[in-house]
Amino acid sequence: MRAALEALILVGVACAFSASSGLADEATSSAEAVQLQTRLARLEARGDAVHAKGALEQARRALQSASDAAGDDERVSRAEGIARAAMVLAERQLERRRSQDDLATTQARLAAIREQADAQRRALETLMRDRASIARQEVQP
Amino acid sequence: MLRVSSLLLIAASAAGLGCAAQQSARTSDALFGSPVAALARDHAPDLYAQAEIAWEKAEAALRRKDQQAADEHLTEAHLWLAAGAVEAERIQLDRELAELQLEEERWARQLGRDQEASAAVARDISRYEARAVALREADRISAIEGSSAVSGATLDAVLTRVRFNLALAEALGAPDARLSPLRDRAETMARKPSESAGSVEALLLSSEGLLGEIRGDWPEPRPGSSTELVETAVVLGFVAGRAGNGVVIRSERFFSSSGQVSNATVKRFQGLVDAFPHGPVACQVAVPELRSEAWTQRVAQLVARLRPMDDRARVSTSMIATQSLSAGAVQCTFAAYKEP
Repeated sequence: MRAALEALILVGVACAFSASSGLADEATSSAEAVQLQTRLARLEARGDAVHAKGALEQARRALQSASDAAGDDERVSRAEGIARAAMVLAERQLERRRSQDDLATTQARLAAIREQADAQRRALETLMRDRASIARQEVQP
Repeated sequence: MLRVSSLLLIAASAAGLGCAAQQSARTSDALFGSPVAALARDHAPDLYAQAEIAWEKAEAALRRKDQQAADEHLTEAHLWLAAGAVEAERIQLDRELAELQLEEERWARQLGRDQEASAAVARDISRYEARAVALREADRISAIEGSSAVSGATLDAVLTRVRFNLALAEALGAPDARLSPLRDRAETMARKPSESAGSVEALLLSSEGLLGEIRGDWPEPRPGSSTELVETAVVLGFVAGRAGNGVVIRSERFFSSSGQVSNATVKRFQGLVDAFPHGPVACQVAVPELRSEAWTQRVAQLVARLRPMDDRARVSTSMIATQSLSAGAVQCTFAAYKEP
């Protein structure tokens, strides 16, 4: 459900944004744009990028819009602002995903060690009972 | 709670896009006044601040009647706030993770402690079982006196003991001329299990006697003798260990529950004294109190049983009132068997 809502917001944002910007072949040459493109490429190349698909798509559209609006500094700045925010969202989503994975792994490990510790405790109790029984036999000549 | 709030925020963001900036005050309340926005403000203040900046720009654009710019700044504000909400959730997850890791460490420590304790108890049980097996073997060997026929298990136990004694005697320098006759007798007994109790016992005593003679050729115990004494005593069913004043052996089986002196234990003890011929052996019998007439009589019986076997008067026996040993326990110190 969360994923659906996240998609909804990003699609909505994309629609609102793309409606206000036309297609253009002219490539932006600003250092900021290059930096954002590089950052996006790095995020998209990650193995877990699928878990931030919506935000990354949003960032890509925003960068395309910035490219399309070359010459209109205000529009470029606003589009780059959206791209930056979308990439931060993507990064945080991936971090959250990593935390979720770590949590699941740790929960599984904890369950296993608890089971092992319980079994060991039962074994120890059995040994202690055996030892107590032996101690009782030892005092009887 | 946090995840639900996060969903609400995202839903609000989506709705906010549709309504655009005309409803800015209401949307602002919905966004920045929500519980999840408060979490974002607390846990990701930098992202929250970015959202506020974008929001202010949207309001400024609205005041300029620049709807497109207002929409775009509003979009950016929503994204920053969503990032803040996700970050708050991540921090919450990491806290849960840290708690789980602490719990995991606690369980791991308990597991480690229980594993160590189990190993210690298991070793203890193994020692007891080894002693119990040794005692059963020793009892078998000692029991041949009263029975005319020797069981297969008893004969096996005796022959194993004899072979061990002969191997040790050979290692200590016993000549073939002394060893061969005993080996031949042992082989014959192994082939003809119907040997009489008397001949079986005689073979065992001969092998122990030979071992004692060979050891006795030395003016004092050889290095390592104390270890041999401890091992032999354990095999014969005694509790044994090295102490500062020599090797100490102990048994609670010198007396039966009715107070009778145990022939089997006395015989095992005598075999041990013969096999380790150096120095005095000081025995103490633990009694509840020194003036106990019953225990005085019992100890006197024990002394009387030991005396005929002790031609060199090596063994001395006394009573000691102590609570640290059970009544009737006998503890003997082989004083010459001290390791440096």
